[in-house]
Amino acid sequence: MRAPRLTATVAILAALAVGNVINTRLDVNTEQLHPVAEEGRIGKVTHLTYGDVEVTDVRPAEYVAPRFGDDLSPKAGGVFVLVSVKVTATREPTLFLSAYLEDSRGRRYRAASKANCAINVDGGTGIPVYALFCFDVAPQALAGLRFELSRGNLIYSTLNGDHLADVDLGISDADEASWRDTDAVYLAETTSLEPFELQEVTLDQVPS
Amino acid sequence: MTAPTSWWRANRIWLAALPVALAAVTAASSYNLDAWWDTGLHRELASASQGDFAEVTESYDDGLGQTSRTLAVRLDELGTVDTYPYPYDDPGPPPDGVDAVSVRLRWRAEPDQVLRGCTVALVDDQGRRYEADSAAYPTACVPENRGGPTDPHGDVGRGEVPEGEQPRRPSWTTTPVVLVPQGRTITQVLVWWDRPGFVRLSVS
Repeated sequence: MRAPRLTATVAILAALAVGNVINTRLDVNTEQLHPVAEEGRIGKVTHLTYGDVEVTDVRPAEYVAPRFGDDLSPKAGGVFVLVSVKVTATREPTLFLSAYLEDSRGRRYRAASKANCAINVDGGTGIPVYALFCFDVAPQALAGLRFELSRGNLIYSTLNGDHLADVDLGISDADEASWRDTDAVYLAETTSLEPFELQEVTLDQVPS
Repeated sequence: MTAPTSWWRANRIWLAALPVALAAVTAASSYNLDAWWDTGLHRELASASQGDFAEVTESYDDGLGQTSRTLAVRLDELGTVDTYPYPYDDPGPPPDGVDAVSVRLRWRAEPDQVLRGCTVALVDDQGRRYEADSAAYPTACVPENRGGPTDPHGDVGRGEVPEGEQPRRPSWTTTPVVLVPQGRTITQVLVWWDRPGFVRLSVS
């Protein structure tokens, strides 16, 4: 009788150990799966399982002027990085909810809401949507920036296992040095079904 | 003297219960499966060929509890139109390389049925889905200004028609427009209110 009792004891201890691993290492409340990055570069279409993403232009700005109304133009805390993107959903209408810049140290930047540019892209199937994302980035973090776009997840706010466009913006150290001192001002754009050219404008000083 | 009982024999009831317990644990952890089911189009409520009515009764929950809607819908014709009603802009031609496809649907339902808030979509021969913009067509399934009752909310009870609107007639036609890239072959029209249920209308 001793052998079966020993077997049962070992089995119970093993079950407890497995349960402990499941509860601690496989916590369902933590992000378990990294997004699947599809690397790309400016001017080249990055094909995802649900859409195509092409960064068509990237440039710096000091201000982004509002297109409508009399609001003052917001100034970047660092440098505005303006990323023009062409996005096409390929299978079904798709909300490209998650747009970030990631710097060479792995820090992520959300689109700057004060710039009044696009914050996401809602695309009909097969219909290209043109969008301008504006990010406010620290001047010393410009070189090596990457643009990331994916569907994201409205329910869980994660990129859990999503296919993600990861586009190298091609910003060199020399670009970073010159972009820091930019005084360019552009009109804000959001999304459009027609391609658009960024319009550089001159600001008028408001009397104090 | 009886033979010693084996471990397997002594625990046969628990061993038999083990697959049931594993199934229960899996089901209890399947919230991702629930989300997948509830957010996709997985349950065909009714179907019909072009020119025939699909008769539909769908149960759903509104703010007061479980209820249902009963209707009939028929695909009359697909066509193309020159202008598209952009939601936040003036109507204009569709973008280059894109057709504005009109979907003429004939409807029948009692005036007390809640039919607002539907989505109309086209599916091509590759399974790609194109949806009518809900901002451009908030009334893709009901007549404009005679949309019938809304879902109950606030002080508005079930079956109440918004103030200032006439009751909906028993039959009517809608023609939402969907943007579709040129050269695509549309094979189906889908209509739905609450996923995962949908109505499939074949294009002939």
